[in-house]
Amino acid sequence: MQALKPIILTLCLGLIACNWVFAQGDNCPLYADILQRGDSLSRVGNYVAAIKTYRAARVACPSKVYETDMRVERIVYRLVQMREQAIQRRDEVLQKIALMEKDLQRARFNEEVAERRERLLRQANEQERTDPALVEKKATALVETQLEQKDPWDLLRTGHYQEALPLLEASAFNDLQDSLSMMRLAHANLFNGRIEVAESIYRVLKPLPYRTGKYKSFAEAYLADFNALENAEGILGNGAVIPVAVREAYLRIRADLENYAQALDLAEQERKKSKELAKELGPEKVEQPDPVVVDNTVKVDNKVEVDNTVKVDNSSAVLLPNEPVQSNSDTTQHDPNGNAALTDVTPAPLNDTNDSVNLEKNTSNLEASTSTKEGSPLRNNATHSRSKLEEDRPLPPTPEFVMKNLINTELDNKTTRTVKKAGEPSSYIVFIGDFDLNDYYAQRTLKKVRDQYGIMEARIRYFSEVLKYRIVLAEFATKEEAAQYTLNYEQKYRERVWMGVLY
Amino acid sequence: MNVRSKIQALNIALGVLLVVILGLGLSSFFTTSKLKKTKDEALKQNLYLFERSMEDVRTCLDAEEYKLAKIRLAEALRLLKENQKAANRNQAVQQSFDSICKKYCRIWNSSEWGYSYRASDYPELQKGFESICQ
Repeated sequence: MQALKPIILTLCLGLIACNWVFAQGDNCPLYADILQRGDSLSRVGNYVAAIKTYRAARVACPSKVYETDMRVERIVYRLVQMREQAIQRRDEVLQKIALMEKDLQRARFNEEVAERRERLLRQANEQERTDPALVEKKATALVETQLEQKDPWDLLRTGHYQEALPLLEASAFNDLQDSLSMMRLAHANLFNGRIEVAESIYRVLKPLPYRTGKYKSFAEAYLADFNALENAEGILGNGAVIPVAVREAYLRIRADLENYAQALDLAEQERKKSKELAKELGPEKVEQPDPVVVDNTVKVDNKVEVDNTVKVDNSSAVLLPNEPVQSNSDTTQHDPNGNAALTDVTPAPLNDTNDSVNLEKNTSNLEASTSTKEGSPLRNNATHSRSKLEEDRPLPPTPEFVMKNLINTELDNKTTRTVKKAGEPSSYIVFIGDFDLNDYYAQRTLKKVRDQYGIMEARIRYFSEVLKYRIVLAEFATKEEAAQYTLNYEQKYRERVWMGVLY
Repeated sequence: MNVRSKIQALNIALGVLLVVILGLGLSSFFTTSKLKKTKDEALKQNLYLFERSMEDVRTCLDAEEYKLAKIRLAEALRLLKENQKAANRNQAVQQSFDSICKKYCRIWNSSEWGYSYRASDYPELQKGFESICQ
């Protein structure tokens, strides 16, 4: 019995090993063949068939999935590489085509100019023969053609922004009334990489009314220009007109102008509605607004410098306009609904005709209004109740970005002035309004206040409801005053406001 | 032992018997329901396996690996046959089996894929799909 033990053990082990080998072989009889076929297809470059075959191999032997999957992944990687190469080749070809088209367009343009010049010369010669006094005119015509030849707008549209920049600068600064050149100088600056300069021009011009009635504002005119430039780019090729390097800035500016134009439209509608409502309400009296001292100094010189200074006394609030600011040089500020002004430096009441006259006058000075504000007649002649208006009227939908920009700009300005020494604020700011604290802008502002000015106490208190589209900002000498002011508002509007104190 | 005590003993015996019968009845009820549940689950698992087998057959047909397709189809048919009786008792599962058969039958006969045409040299496959299409 003892002698039989090792024999039985060996037999058992042998049986198990045989079974295992047999099982392994039996499970995947076709796998090797299929895999080989897949490999050969892959080598030939027939990737689709190869992937199909590998999938079949997967079915044939599920225990060797990793092998087939690895092969499939290799094919996919190769296909991705091929795709990238193809895209690169396509881009190169497109670039070449665009360059050729650009050259062709330039050549056509030059041909046209040459033809025009020739025609003019011929005409001048004929006229000279009949009337020698027209020699002078001929010279003028020649100058004109030369100027036409270098039309900055054409240069911009054909991608020659380097050449357009000096021309536009010359025409904008030589003739201050040439607001079109000033407007397009922004494009030229932008395309030449001077983004900050371009942005400052866009910022100054965008709220101003356009010189003719074609567009409501420069913002709209800019958008029309952008469309034209994009159309030109569609023909010339990607990056031919708007350089790729400034594409991001361009898109940002474009989005900003679109929003601004939209906001202006909404503000216009709002103003119309408020006029209609004022007529309906009839002879009710306007409440006296809180006394606020506002001093807006505006300088528009050759380089269109705008200096906007706001001073607010400690006990009163500044109501920022509900609509986007019509001009950087405004001397008045609206309440959010455009029904009441807190202050108006210009003493004389204005009416619609005065407005139109002023508008015409303003167009001759870079279209900037420094002494009037739309809505003034309503304020001066209004006989309706302001509080009633506020309560009854549905609040207008003002685009969010306008509010955010206004809030952030005001917060920035005030904080900069208030905090003279880091960590030691000399006064306190209260702001009340539609202010979503979860949003990026608000968080950024708070962070800036904390980091930049070293105010550790910067925080915002807010309540459940929103008094929409009204922003109140005020500065106070002491924390108690600020808190009292906040409390007053809280009591006045109960739960209708969000408010915050920025210490 | 008087008659009263005899009656008492009988009562106790009857009570015990009643409890035993009740217990047996309840346990058999639960066992049957659990068994039924397990059977249903097994049927659903087989349904899933059948669908997967059919998908494998399709993959093989796509790669023109007809030998492998033949093997996988035979497996699928075996699964179908095994579960036919059980599926007949469960209407929902029966419908699922039918819809799977219908789907792959349509694919097999579709001129877009052309499987039946391409696999014309493999009568086993033709036969197998014929039985599925029935």
